Amino acid sequence: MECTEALILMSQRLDAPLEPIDEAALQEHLHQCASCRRVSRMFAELDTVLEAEAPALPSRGLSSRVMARVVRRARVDRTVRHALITLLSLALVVVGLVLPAVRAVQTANQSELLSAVVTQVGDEVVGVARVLAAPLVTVVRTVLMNDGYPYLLAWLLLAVVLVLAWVSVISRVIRPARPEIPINATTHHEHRRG
Amino acid sequence: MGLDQELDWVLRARQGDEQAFAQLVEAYQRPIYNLAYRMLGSSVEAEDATQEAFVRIWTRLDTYDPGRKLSSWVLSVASHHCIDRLRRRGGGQVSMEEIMASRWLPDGDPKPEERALVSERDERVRRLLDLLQPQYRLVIVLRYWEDKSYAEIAEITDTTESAVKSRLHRARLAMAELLSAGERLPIET
Repeated sequence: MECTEALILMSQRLDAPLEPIDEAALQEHLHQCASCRRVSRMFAELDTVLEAEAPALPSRGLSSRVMARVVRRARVDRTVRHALITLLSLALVVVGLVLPAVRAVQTANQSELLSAVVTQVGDEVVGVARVLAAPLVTVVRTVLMNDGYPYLLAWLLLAVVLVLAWVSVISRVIRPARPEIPINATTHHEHRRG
Repeated sequence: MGLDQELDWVLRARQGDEQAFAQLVEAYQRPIYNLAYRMLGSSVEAEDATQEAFVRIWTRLDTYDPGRKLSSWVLSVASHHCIDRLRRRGGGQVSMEEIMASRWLPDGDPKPEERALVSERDERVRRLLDLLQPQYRLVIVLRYWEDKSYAEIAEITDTTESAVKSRLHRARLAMAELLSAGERLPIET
């Protein structure tokens, strides 16, 4: 047996008994090799030192401090997620509801001012909306091609339904906030594993 | 603590149940703190690392595979966090080759206020661990203080059992040399 192999076996037998054939070969090598005998003694000494060292124990109340940090992080995450959803909702409302409604007003010739605004800005934005929500926009545009308030009212009703549906989605996405969990601090006593 | 109970805590925590996560914290705060303390060598830093490790666990609960042993996954997350900290800290470790070549012991004295709190034996172990590179230190900690098998250590450290045996052997050899040298040579301060 080479010294290199003997060193590996000396390390492994600190973790679990070796196979009898390996143990016998190692003992034979140790009998012949003073250098490995020295290492064997050093390994045993090290093992004793490490085995005798008890696990480090956390200070009292660590779990409470951990949960306080976790809850803070969870709140930050919720806030960021809420802000993103709110921004997305606003964008969706503007692109999907307000602009088509403005176009409806324009189509009904109720406001020259709104018509001017739509002329300046609306066409480009509605172009984006068409890409984002092509089927919906197509339906809406078809409806709004006809003049008159009944169609505008029908559109507003549809808008309310869409908003309610979106709010329902948001309420499922955002986790409800929970109060902080008080955790009773525990006192741990050192004890060494068996 | 049953595996079903732990899995139930994980599943509830995934839904945002902080009470369930608090149970996980109670169950794993000790092994994670001990791991952090042995890896980082400071009780203050170990406490902060423990808190941050649990935040990582909380934010990554969705990535936990229920087919995997929870303790291994938890310790894996904590281990990676500690190693990240050691890398950010930079330096501080001496390569295995340097240790074997020089056989010196560093001063590494703790601050006076900490020194009073650290026992002589604890200090000796800390000095030995501090000289090991993180991947060697980690296998020693998992073997001696977490009672993990080769297979579990391999899973936690994302390596093979063969590599674990090799790291344990090399780490022991380096530490044993240092321990032996420390008894013969005065420790420079």
